[in-house]
Amino acid sequence: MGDLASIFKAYDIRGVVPDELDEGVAESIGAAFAAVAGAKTILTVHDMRTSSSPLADAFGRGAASQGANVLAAGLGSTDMLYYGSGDLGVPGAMVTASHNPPQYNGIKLCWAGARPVGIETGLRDIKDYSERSLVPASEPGSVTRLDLLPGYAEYLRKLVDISAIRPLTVAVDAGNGMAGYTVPKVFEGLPITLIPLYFELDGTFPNHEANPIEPANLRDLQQAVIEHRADIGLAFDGDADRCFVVDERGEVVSPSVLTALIATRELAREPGATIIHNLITSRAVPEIIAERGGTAVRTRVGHSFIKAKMAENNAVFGGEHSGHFYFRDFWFADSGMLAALHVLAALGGPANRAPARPASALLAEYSRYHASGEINSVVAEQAKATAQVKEAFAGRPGVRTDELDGLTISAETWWFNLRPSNTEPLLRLNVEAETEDAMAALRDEVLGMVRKEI
Amino acid sequence: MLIEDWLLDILACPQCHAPLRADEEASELVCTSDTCGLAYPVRDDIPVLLVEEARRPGDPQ
Repeated sequence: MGDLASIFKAYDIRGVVPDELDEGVAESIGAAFAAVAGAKTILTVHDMRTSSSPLADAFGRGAASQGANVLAAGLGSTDMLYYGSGDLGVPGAMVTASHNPPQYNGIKLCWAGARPVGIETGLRDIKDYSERSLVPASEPGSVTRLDLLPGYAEYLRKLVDISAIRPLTVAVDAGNGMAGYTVPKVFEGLPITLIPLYFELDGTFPNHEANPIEPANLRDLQQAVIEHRADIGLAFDGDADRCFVVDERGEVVSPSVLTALIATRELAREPGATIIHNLITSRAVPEIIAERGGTAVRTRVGHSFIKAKMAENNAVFGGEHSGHFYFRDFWFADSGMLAALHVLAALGGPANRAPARPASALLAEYSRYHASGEINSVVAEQAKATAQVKEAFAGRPGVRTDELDGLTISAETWWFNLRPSNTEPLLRLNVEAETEDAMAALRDEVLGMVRKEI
Repeated sequence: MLIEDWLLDILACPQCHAPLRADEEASELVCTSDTCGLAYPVRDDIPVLLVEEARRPGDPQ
């Protein structure tokens, strides 16, 4: 067995196929996962990449060799894995490299009940076991083919019932990823005229990268929304766990705005509830949560921190600036589709009639400040550059500093955060201020300090 | 056909979520709902719980 350290990341497994990740490696990881989980039954799901189906089969063979019974769900999205794991109460694996280029693949894992698997919560053990030759069980497990799509769609549609919304025209860019498989089923029979873009499942991503956080990947959707006079546009990433929204004018809606909108809906349903947001979301998010009588809890960036805080606080909902939205009713896991249903419910539901406001007007009340978006700078000495920025701002009047995740400097009317990438020599800057000019001035000042030695 | 109890305990009809029962003779797993009743094949001891592969009640096998 070769060196597996390079493909085991903080939250999942990613590598180039077949050089770093092939069927042999997937089989070893499947065996290790079953052994570490000690589970009688495991679930497998895979995306549309050409290597995904064989890798999922190999992972299942490995798990079965350890005596685990395998429920092979076939094609699905990452949130469908969470649904299956939660509904059936079994650990599971999703073969996907999310939005990465076609030559990549990977495996996302979860424990029973969709509980997260990260490097500190089992992934290191799975890596260690994968590097050993495990003794096969005396009796291998069985295999069952299982269709999760109908149950997944029904479950989501029960959580957010949009069957009685006013008719909406909705453009959806699936980016040739798994939303092309899930959206038609979830929207089936609803009062929605669907304008589908790139619904053909194609792991070579012939149209654009399936990563809607990059503005270039949203251009086709923006154009389609305007051309078809759609009420709203939705874009999903390759494994359809993240969702981005474009309003009827073709303008991209910040995930912070969506976080505030969904938080408002959840607080109406459960007054006083706790809601989690990461520290990069807009300051408007905790303000709106407090104004609606809720409790806002701020966390570091990242899947495992959000899920842990959600469980710890029994939070009803959590949002991240990256387009990940987490729900208590969805086993504290993230589902872009469920977030999308919330947006459609708000746009087409009874509270937005007579007169019905367009998406831009509906969402305007959740947008209060001007944000820079995430700006990356290549910096070798991240700690040194961060320390210099901290020192430069420390003496200014009314300035507060915190280091929950990287460095956050805040004042009455603005804040910024500078945090290092875990995997690359990058510093990521996010700035927010009351006016566009103030944001731009602050952004340029901090970037000047960060980039001065490049 | 050998269908273990754990399978029937954990699994439900993918179409309607009603419990399943094993029909040993027909080598099928059958949905127990009166309104659904889809019958799923078991091929080479692999239950295939896919709606598109299922037989509707009354359809020939």
